Amino acid sequence: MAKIELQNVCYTYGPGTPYAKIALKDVSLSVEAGKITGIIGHTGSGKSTLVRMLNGLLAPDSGRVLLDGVDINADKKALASVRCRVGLVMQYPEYQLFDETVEKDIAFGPRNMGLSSEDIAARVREAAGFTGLSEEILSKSPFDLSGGQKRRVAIAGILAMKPEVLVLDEPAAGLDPKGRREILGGLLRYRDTTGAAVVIVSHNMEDMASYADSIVVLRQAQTAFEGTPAEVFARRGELEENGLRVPDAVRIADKLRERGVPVPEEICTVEAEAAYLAELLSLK
Amino acid sequence: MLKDVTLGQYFPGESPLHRADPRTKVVLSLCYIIALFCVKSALGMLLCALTLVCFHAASRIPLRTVLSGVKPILFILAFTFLINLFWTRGETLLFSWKFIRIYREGIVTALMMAVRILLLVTGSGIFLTYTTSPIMLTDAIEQLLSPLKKIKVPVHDFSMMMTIALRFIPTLIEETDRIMDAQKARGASFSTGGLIRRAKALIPILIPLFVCAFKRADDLAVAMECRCYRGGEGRTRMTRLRFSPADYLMMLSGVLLIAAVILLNHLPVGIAL
Repeated sequence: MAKIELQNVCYTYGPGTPYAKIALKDVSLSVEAGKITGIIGHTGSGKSTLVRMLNGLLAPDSGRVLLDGVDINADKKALASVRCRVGLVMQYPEYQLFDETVEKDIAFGPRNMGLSSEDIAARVREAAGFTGLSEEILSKSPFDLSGGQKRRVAIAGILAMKPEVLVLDEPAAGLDPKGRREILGGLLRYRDTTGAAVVIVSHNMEDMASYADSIVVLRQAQTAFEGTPAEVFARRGELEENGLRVPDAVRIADKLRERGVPVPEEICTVEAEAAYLAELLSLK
Repeated sequence: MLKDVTLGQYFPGESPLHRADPRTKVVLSLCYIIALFCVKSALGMLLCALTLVCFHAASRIPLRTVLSGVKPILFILAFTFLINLFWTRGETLLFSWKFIRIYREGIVTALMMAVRILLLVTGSGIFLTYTTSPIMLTDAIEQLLSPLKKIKVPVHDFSMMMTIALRFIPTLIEETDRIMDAQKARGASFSTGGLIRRAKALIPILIPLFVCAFKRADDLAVAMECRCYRGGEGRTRMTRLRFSPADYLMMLSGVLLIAAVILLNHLPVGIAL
């Protein structure tokens, strides 16, 4: 059974006013535990609305959101516990930091869950480990940190709640390549340790190709198509019509195929491509 | 949600009132307010109400939107009505029980006051806030007040500050929504617990909000300086306001309304109260 599922979800902002805007139209989605699902789409395609559905910040106008088969909007009082089980890291989460020290800020979530102080301290250490924050940083003020470090603190704040479903809206936007790899690597480690289901919204196709198990493409509030990264990136024409691009590795593979090099379709990361070409060249 | 709050919000549309010069609408609203305060006769009040109905029809704003603007003042409306009803002393006693005395004059004053406030609020909405974007409004105020520059009143600076403040209200509301969502996702709750707990729950919202607002103000100042903003002196405008014949007609109708109201106050047909 899917860990978390959207069934025919519709949502409109400001219904009945001149500002009315359809954000989601009949969107269905299912995410398995232990898998990473990527969501891609042009600006305004409904990605951010979709992630707010997953932890009940927004309730769908019609359709259902199921967590372990239970409709999360059926009981409004249970939403607080749903939000502890579905961790949502919003876009630019560094702007939500507020406490005196990094340690206290990361502890905000677990404290709201009513855990004991030993438990909280252990969770803060563990979350800091996943995001690569050193002991020394924990005692600093979050406002003295660099942008990349703030981002890690904000993500650690959600990881410390040990969510069963982790949802991230552009977790690595605006970071340098090294910071990107470290943060995404930390998320992979979290998934491997806890077996959580992970949903990542991103514009970075290279990241999607290397990390996602499956990808959903949104177009004008609807699901355009979905599949494994190789299946999705094989539909290059449709992606480009939607203002999206394919990873560089896929583009290079296309060019190589045009010249008669039989690069397999499932290769869509630079690493896999390099390994394939190295093998091909050593055979010659 | 915070977004649902209507505080005199602009309602985009294509109507004669939307197209009119914002200065016209400021003048018209002023005339309307003056007329409302001069009214001393039932017929005069009726005339004011009819004027508003006509302009409302011309504005093509849904009646529901206009009435929703009245909701926040319902309490004040009821309060003034009751105060005037019980505390006005007159000659014709209609009802008396213990210390409560209601006079004919009291009913009349209370009704007039309530209708006056009602027309004032819906009127300023229709003439100004619903049909004029905030930016147009500050432009109009700046131009109408520009004679004050002669006596060294920094009119431009004030209107620039007002424009910026108005421009950033929606941004701040959006920001607050976003931060609230983010903290809710971390298990924060803003609607449970006692007063102290609720006040404490605001800290995780207010601190990030202030940090963002200061950062944004700083960025904006730098961006304005980069584009060589040095205040109003010698500054030209992209959109120049021009009066059309319809504008003159509208302002004339405002002045005529005041004249008619004053006339009705003194004529026996006006049913003086």
